[in-house]
Amino acid sequence: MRSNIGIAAALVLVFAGTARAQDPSTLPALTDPVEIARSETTGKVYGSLDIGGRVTQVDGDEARFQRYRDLRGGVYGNNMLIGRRTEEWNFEAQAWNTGYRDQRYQLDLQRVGRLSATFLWDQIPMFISRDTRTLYTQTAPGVFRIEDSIQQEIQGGTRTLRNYEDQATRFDMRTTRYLGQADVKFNFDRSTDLTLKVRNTTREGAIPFGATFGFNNAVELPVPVDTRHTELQTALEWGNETGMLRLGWDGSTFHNNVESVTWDNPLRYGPDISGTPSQGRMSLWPGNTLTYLHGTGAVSLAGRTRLTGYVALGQGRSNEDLLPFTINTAIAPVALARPTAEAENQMMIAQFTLGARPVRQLSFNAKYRYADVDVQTPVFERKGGSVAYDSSFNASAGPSEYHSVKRATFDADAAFQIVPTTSVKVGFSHLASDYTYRIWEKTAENVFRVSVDTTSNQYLMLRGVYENRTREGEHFDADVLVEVGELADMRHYDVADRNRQRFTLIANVMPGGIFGLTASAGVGRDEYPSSGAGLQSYDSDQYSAGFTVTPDDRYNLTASYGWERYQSLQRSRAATTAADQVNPLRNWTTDYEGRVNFLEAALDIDRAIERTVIRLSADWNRSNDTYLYGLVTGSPLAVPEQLPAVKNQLLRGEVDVTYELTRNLRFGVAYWYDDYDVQDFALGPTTLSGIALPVIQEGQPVVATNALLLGYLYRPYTAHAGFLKLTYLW
Amino acid sequence: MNIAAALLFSGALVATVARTAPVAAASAPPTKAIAATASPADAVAARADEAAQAAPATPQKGYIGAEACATCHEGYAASITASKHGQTKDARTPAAAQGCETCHGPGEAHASDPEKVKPKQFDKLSAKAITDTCVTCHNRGPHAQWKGSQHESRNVSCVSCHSIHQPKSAKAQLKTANQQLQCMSCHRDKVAKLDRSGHMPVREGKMECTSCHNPHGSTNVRLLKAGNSINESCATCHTEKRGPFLFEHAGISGESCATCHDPHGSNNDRMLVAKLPFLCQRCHNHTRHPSTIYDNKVAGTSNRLYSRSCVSCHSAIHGSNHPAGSTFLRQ
Repeated sequence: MRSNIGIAAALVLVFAGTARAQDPSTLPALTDPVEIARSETTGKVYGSLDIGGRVTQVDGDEARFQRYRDLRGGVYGNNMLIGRRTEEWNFEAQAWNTGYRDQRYQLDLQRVGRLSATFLWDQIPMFISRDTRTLYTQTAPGVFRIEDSIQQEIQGGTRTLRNYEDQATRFDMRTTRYLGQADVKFNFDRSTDLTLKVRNTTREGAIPFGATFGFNNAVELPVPVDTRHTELQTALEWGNETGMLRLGWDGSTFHNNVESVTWDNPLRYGPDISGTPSQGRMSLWPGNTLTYLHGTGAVSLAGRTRLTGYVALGQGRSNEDLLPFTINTAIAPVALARPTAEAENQMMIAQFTLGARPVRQLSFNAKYRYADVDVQTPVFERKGGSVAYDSSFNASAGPSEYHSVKRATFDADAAFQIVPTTSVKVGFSHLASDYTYRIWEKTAENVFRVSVDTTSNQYLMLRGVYENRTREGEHFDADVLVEVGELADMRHYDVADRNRQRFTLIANVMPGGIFGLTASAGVGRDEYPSSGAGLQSYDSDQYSAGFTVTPDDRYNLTASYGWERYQSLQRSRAATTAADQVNPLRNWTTDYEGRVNFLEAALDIDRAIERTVIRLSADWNRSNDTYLYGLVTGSPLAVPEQLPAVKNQLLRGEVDVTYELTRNLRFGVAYWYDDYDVQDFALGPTTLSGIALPVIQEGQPVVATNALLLGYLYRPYTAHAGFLKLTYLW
Repeated sequence: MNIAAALLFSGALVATVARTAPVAAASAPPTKAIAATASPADAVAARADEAAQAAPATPQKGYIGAEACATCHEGYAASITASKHGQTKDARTPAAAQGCETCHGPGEAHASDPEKVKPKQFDKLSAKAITDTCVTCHNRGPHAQWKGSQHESRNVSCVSCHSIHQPKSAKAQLKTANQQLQCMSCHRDKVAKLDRSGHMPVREGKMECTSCHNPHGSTNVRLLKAGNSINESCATCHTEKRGPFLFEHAGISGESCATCHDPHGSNNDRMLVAKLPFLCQRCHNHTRHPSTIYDNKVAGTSNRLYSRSCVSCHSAIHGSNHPAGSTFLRQ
């Protein structure tokens, strides 16, 4: 068996080494007016205009269908282009979906050899929900009030939140990013450039946000999003065939126009009492800055060797005013240790890469990367106590803890070109990390890998890699766990001891000119051997296979099918007392398994029917996720009632037919079908049957509907979109 | 910008054709006549004479000029003029240097005996050799970190993704219609993720792979384009979560957003790598609610399970600037 595999591998490599793709000696003449114009420098104005009408019908969750796009019905203009090319100047302006929420405009300008500039305006909508409802009214940015009578009646015990659901106002919850960007590059001469990038992103709208007064009084608010993020990146670069040098400065500021949110407690009108405030208040995302000064240099040496270095020094800051501990007037004010955040990180990053190919068949790469994120924020002491969720005074609040981290990574690879198109690579990496206030002070990870890659071959593309990683911690600090009442054998999985194996293989086989096959496999196994609690293992298996048939330039059929499986096991211990925490009989596990099946297919028929281009595509993606609870033998815990599976299915199909009326004018019709089905035990409409829901504590009976949510949920949709379009090209 | 010069076969070139396009058009009939009636060598000689008259500069020994190449290799002139490679007014382009021969090497011998002598043919070179040609020019800007990068070390060459003469994409001269198709020809494990309910706006066309990644090498990890860590890359857009904060969440600050989120897509809300509360319970198991089994009996009554689960209350999970925010119950 082993010899057979060896012979097969040898044949593959011989095959791979001898067969190469053949490029045609001539190319077909261009026919598209825009493509022709782009291939000339005559100064002729060229462009395209795509106008038409769109009809859209959505049954179900329209917000999810339109999540990042705007496909509302109406007249539309899309793919609008105008350009002009000369030997000296190039100009192109483009517009997409003009007038809609996801409209985009771009202008490219080039003074050949001197200046290139791109200006972009892009809007990215995020339609979160059309089902959302609330009893709150936003009286000022970030101030949410409920009618006094509602609070009074609930406080009086005569009614509950459920009684007021009908009074909730429905609203569309969405945000939109408005992105303006300019990229400019000046070429001073053949060797020297100045690059400048300015980007401003404003984001407006609202998102669901939790605003609790305690775990039995959960509130969800449509907190306003009104932010601005401005970035400036500059760099001066010099380079030629033997080396390059770049110096740059990047700066970025984030500003939030709504710094805090204040909201009524739906369960209490007033006055405030300790334990139950009439309103709450918290800060929203704080303004901050990030700046970097960086330099990059590279030099080419003998033996096809290149040495590249990069060093960056950075600083992140946030110094917004701090809110008082609470807005609850029944709690005596607690002095702040300082009035502003004074939060600061200092960063130092260095990376050095050496790549060499001293002889044709052998190449080496070595890379060292060091990254230091040093938190400089002074410890925020709370010796005077704190206030939990505007409700109760906590005398024993601890100080802040900051998580500085240093990472040093060394990679070394050697690749052997065993035949001209195939190389085998072996490599090793060592990652050393140094943490502050984590359960491990240090971790070290060793990585061994081997890969084979066949490329640039007419008949075969083959890529395979196997990787073995072992991570171990040093200087375990149990106090970090004990301080917060955590299980002593909990190991946080991002730093825990871990054995990881990964194998991936992808092969494209093109046995003839018209037929191609592709197959891929990916297998991953993670184990956390020293984790008594928390994540124990994570496995992944991914397989896909597909084919392409291209009998001639008129027909192209592709299809692929994929199957994936994900599995994880995690362990917990039900513990409400210190005694419970050391009783292993109270252990329980969550065994997760996710299975995914997907299918993609596309058929292009290009002028098989005179003047007609037909494009058909479909894709289907179904997943089934199960969460199975398990108990140990002799467990005192009640047998859990297993959760139902979470199911998602997306089915989409598109038909697009274009008919060339003339060389410059095209008529098209298109139809899109989009169907999404979902069943989710936590976010489905059966569970979230209203915006007022019960809240219970562990082991306690339902006492009231004390949660006031927004009604954001997952539900299916079926959408149809039809397009009629005229495209003019010149 | 995109990779360049990997000029397939007859290639790149035609460089000077950009500058001389009108001339070439005007002289096309005689050229074709020559090509039809004379040997390739004669045709090349004739074109070389024409080029010599049009361009006073003396070609280097062994070079014949792009127009001569175009005599036989029809269509390549237009393909190269349409790209930045064909901009003769830019001193950095092949067009401003030796045209096709900038990348394919001197062509005189090939023109004299096209069957026996071949110029540098990129479909017959190893990935490393192809790359060595391209990085002669593309060794700075976004390509500065190519040598030693993940793709370079895996035998990926410039022409694995780019086609200099027959690109199918609107930008970056890719071999496929868009970036997504190009990247997924190898990264098959990402295909299904983009179709999940929680996803970035890639399938809607608002983002593409290079919105986050630089496939040509990076000073960040995982070929990320912006910032110096995964967190900094994500915070390019999700800047409100950048901090630094008064109270940090271990595992997030200084670590990786990808500890909890799968940026390529997930069926879990907010693209989490696991559904809540299970994700939180992977690290939090202390007394009371973190260690409780939330089963189907409480699915409709416990806010630890329904809706947004843990973050219904711990909403400031990315960090808090509130003095009482140590448990992330206040932003």
